[in-house]
Amino acid sequence: MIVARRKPFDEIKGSVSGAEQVLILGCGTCVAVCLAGGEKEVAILASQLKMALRLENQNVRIDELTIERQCDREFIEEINTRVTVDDYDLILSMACGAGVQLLSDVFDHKVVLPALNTTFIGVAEGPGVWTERCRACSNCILGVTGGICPITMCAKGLVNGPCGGAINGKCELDYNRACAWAMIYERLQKLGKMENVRKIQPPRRHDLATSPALVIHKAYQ
Amino acid sequence: MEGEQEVVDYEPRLVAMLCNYCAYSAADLAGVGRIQYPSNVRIVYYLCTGKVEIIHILKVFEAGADAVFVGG
Amino acid sequence: MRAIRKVEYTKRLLDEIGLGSERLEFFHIAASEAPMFAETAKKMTERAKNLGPNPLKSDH
Ligand code: SF4
Ligand code: SF4
Repeated sequence: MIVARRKPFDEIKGSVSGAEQVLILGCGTCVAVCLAGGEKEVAILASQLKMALRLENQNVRIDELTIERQCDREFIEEINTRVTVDDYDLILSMACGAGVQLLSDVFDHKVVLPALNTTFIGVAEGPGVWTERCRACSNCILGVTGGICPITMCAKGLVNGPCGGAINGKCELDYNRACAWAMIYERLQKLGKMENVRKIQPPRRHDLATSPALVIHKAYQ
Repeated sequence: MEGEQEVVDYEPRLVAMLCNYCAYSAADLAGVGRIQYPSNVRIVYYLCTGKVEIIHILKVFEAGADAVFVGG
Repeated sequence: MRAIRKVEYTKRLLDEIGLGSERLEFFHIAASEAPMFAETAKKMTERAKNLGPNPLKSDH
């Protein structure tokens, strides 16, 4: 899922100051799971802003709404059935960057501001801890590397590793960090697939990872 | 907005969020044992303080509480 | 303990707002510690007096 974290409070407060009516819009999917932008976080931010702005004698009305997903028009269209978007002079989105952008496209006459810093695609390791696992390279090699992504985990993003600098399974750029390729060797050994590392992998297909990338499902081409 | 706060002698309003099994029993016992404690403390009772939500605490301050303590 | 972590985090949120984290505290109070409860209530009341009223209170 997409992992994000809330922007510093002062930055958010500064971005809404001067507005009279603000809608804080949460997203109930990825950012809700990583405790950054779901219904609960919307309520906390709304309460904090109400108090902080009142202390500055700013009279701002702050409403809250959380929809299922902000990266899907179908769900965004639902917003107007629950609130009147034109009542607000500003929408503060607590979705990832994709959600903020689609919201800006749909309500292109409204100021839409991000309340989060979108950080990575990753997994939940335990309560409150997430790690990055995928850089969305468009040409997944996990099948060869035993399910460990060197593009994300190797500091150099090598597809043929390790480099010459790894020491005792640690990365030469940061000895606190495991060498991704050492992990891959161990995993492949466990899987009995050591032949995978004896083959030289072709260079990364940077041509596939166009920016901005576009996906059209075959059934819709 | 008031500039610097002059030291006023006022009666603060406190909210205590207490766990049924420990702190609330202690408060109860204080009542039964006639142990004096300030009458300006309002008690919110939880089955467990693990159920205290951040937003509950914020709402209490929004409503004007001067201080809050959670007891577990 | 979950409650302690939440209280610590909420204290940070209160600082961000400008209300001040001193207005919130967590205390361990066992079921038998009635005097401890009274003590805590007094302590926090004193603290609130020193801090002055919550500036968000409408009747001040
Ligand atoms: S808007 Fe972002 S955070 Fe929300 S569901 Fe879509 S990808 Fe996930
Ligand atoms: S190889 Fe590419 S697609 Fe696969 S996990 Fe790594 S970055 Fe993601």
